[in-house]
Amino acid sequence: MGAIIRASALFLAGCLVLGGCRRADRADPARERPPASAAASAPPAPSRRDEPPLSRHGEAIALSPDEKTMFVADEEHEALFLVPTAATEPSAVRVVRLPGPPAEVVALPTRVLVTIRSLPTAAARTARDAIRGPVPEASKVAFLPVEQQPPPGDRSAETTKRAELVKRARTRPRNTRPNVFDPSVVRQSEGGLLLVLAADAAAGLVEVARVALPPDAWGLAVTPDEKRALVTSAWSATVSAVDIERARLIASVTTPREPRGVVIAPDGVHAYVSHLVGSGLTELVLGPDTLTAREVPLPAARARAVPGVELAASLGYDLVLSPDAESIYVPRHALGADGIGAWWGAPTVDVLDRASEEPVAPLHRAPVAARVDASYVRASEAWEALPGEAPSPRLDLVQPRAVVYRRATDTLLVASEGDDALTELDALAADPAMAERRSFALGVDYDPFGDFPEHGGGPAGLALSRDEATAFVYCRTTFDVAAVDLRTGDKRYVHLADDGLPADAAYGRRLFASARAPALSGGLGCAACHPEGRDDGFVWSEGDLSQGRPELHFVGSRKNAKMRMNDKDGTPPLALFPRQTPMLAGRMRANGPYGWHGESVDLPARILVGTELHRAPWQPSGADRAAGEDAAKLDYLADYLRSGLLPPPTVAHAPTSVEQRGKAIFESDAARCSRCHVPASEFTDRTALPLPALAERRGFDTEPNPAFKTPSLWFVAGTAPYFHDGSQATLEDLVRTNRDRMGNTSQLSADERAALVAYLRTL
Amino acid sequence: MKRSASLLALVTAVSGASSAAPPTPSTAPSASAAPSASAASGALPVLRGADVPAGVSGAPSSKEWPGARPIWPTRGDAGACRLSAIREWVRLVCPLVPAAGLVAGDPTGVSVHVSGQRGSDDGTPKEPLVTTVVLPVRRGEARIVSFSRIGVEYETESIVEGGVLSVVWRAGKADPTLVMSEMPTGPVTLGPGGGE
Repeated sequence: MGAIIRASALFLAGCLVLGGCRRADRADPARERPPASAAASAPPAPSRRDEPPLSRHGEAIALSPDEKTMFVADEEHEALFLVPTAATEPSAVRVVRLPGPPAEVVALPTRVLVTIRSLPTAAARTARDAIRGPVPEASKVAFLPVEQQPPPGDRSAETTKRAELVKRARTRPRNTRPNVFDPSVVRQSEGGLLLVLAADAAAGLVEVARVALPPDAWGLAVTPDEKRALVTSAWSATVSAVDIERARLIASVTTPREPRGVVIAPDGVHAYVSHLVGSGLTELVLGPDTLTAREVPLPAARARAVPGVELAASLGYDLVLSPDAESIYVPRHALGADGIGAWWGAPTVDVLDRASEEPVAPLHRAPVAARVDASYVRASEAWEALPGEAPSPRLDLVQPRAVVYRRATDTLLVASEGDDALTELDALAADPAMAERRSFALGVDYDPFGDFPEHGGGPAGLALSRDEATAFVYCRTTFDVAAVDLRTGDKRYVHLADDGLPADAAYGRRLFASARAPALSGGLGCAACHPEGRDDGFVWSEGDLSQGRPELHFVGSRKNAKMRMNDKDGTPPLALFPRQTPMLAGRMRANGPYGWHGESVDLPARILVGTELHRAPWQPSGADRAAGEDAAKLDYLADYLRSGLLPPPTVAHAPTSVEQRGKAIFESDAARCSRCHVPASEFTDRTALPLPALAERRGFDTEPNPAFKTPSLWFVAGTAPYFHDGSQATLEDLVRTNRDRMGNTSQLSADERAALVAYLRTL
Repeated sequence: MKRSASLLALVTAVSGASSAAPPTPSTAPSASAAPSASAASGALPVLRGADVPAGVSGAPSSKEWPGARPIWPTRGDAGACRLSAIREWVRLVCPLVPAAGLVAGDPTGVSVHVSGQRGSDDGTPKEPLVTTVVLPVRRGEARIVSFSRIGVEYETESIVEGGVLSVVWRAGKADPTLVMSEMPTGPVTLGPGGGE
């Protein structure tokens, strides 16, 4: 790897001397033709058996034990890239087609394991092929030098480019009919998989075994003896234990929503799972033929919480153990967390002490009053740093996707999807997110119109070299791998493939993930609350926090509204209303209306409203820009929501008798569920009806407008909690307590209610 | 605005005086420098568990502190702050810091004192602005302290975040860990008109 960096540095030096460099033209095959060198064209060689794996913890990217090959799981292209780490030409790259979208990979000495989120049915395969675009080709993999950025302060080139892009966006023919998929087809799955692959001279890797798993197989970890694996299935809310040698499922257990990352302790018995939704972890105990699970509480960002309040968490994509296995680190979002300038909460890295099962971070308590003997020191204003206030949320930790522990320095490397950053934190601090050591900006060549990078966008996977001197980061929205020299900060990029989506939707993909587009949000990407187009399970607070004209904003908690601008004498008390994050994927086909009360005529109009909602009141308005020259972004996002954001996989099966009975109840004139939840239109009539008000929830105010648009019931089984205020934890609770508020269910027996719930779970 | 101007004058004046502060044993962190496992490679020792008696004692008196042992954080950089320890008590004396506070952890015994005297109406200081924080470092406990500093943007000063001290002594561990982290030193953008 050192050779790569040196070569890169040499190239860079040459660029400086010669006065400028051009990126390799990926459209010119002649430039990419590999030299006829046997060494250069050799496929990645299998590792020697005596070399231990670099990691038995799954990521979207892994290094072979000999560090000669990186394996990249490209979910969007449903492919595994095998890229020699020392390569500078695409000739030795291999692209292995996979039977479905991969999530994580582990490279063992003689085997490579890959989780496959879904094995699509034939119909779903056809639909997905149309969405995904062309199959990536190894010959088009591009090895890029780092480009020089414009000098600070020189924005002339940027301004010119922006003007060109705005003009192009205005005049570009719109996709009159983007590739809108049918959610009921594209979701069809035969289940998830764990693939076992072995080296092959021609193909690079070939499948030697597969193990059927619950749909949405995602996280992966292998026991120290490399005989068993644990796989999380996110949408199915299960974790499965797999016998690798025999390629058989040992056992599966149910967990809370969205299990994602999984790590196995050195004893090979205990393991921990992080969740995309909720603050707790799941502890697993792996027996010879058994797997048991229990929840372990891990309150989010205790040092940032209001006394007596336990914060919610989201985005627990990944977690890592300390080398001594005494601590578990979970980067994620602490929703409603306090901090200077915090409006939604703050990114955090929560540390669990395994022995005590207590968080390492201390509790936020009452402030200590300072003695001030300096008359000229004034008190802080509301928007300034208050004594004892937690630090501001770090943008370079927003939307954390992956983490590794760097044992030589006792630091953590965290990949931030929202900020295109790789950030190093002190692992020995009480709250590592408050102890940043440095941050590497991975994004290069930022689009001045879209505010996202040409390369290095959306970091989502991490692998660390054995000497811990190089971090390999898979950047998911730009389909690159960034190799970061942690000693020098040099970065080198390998571009694996172009986005297979139509151009507008591809643009929307990058906007969706990025937290850096000021026209769209205040430092939070769409993917922060709608990870993969799903939901964070959180109930946000919406209220008028503006100065002057009424302007609604979201905050994570009432504490986050402390900087309300019009909070003066005579101002009515701040009213906050609950808004549970809705799921987006597969629910965006209708023209409209959208919004809680059906107030937005169509999807771009709703996204425009969202650009105002999703920022702090003291941040510059985005709507004025988004409605003007940036209006094209709304269309780009709408295209991505409709044609790129795939719904979760579900195993298609013939309905059981109970489900059939539930369907009959749902559609009956007695229950009247289908009157509003119209099956033919995503199980909604898109109409706001004034239903009897729900009981006021603690911490929120009485809703002035009780008419809420009928929500879609697509995928309702996996979107708990329910109602706009999140007041019902389960579908069972919802149906049991509904009585006749929605339709008429008070006459249903317990068995009939159970049948109705069983049917709802099939939607 | 008048108060702001005088505070700015104070900071400018004290900045010159800060060169008299004892040299810190580590250099300021750079963007590309790999973080060190311990910044205390210089003259000052870090706080060790062996130096901290078991049990609970009262906070040292002001007469005791001049005899305290100078120490350095286990990790990170104390900047201009000077640290010292007596028994299980640690004191930080931080020039140019207008405020500090306990973010999290048991507040019992924690004290913050901001001092300094203006010598004339133009803001020239007679005594430099100093914030002193005293806190206990005990086995099984953790605390987080935040510091403020004075930032200047568009010729207007404001009080902004200035660093964090994390103190953790995990149960069963031989030594406490004091981590000091400097917050960003770039342009400060807080409040109305400050941008994002």
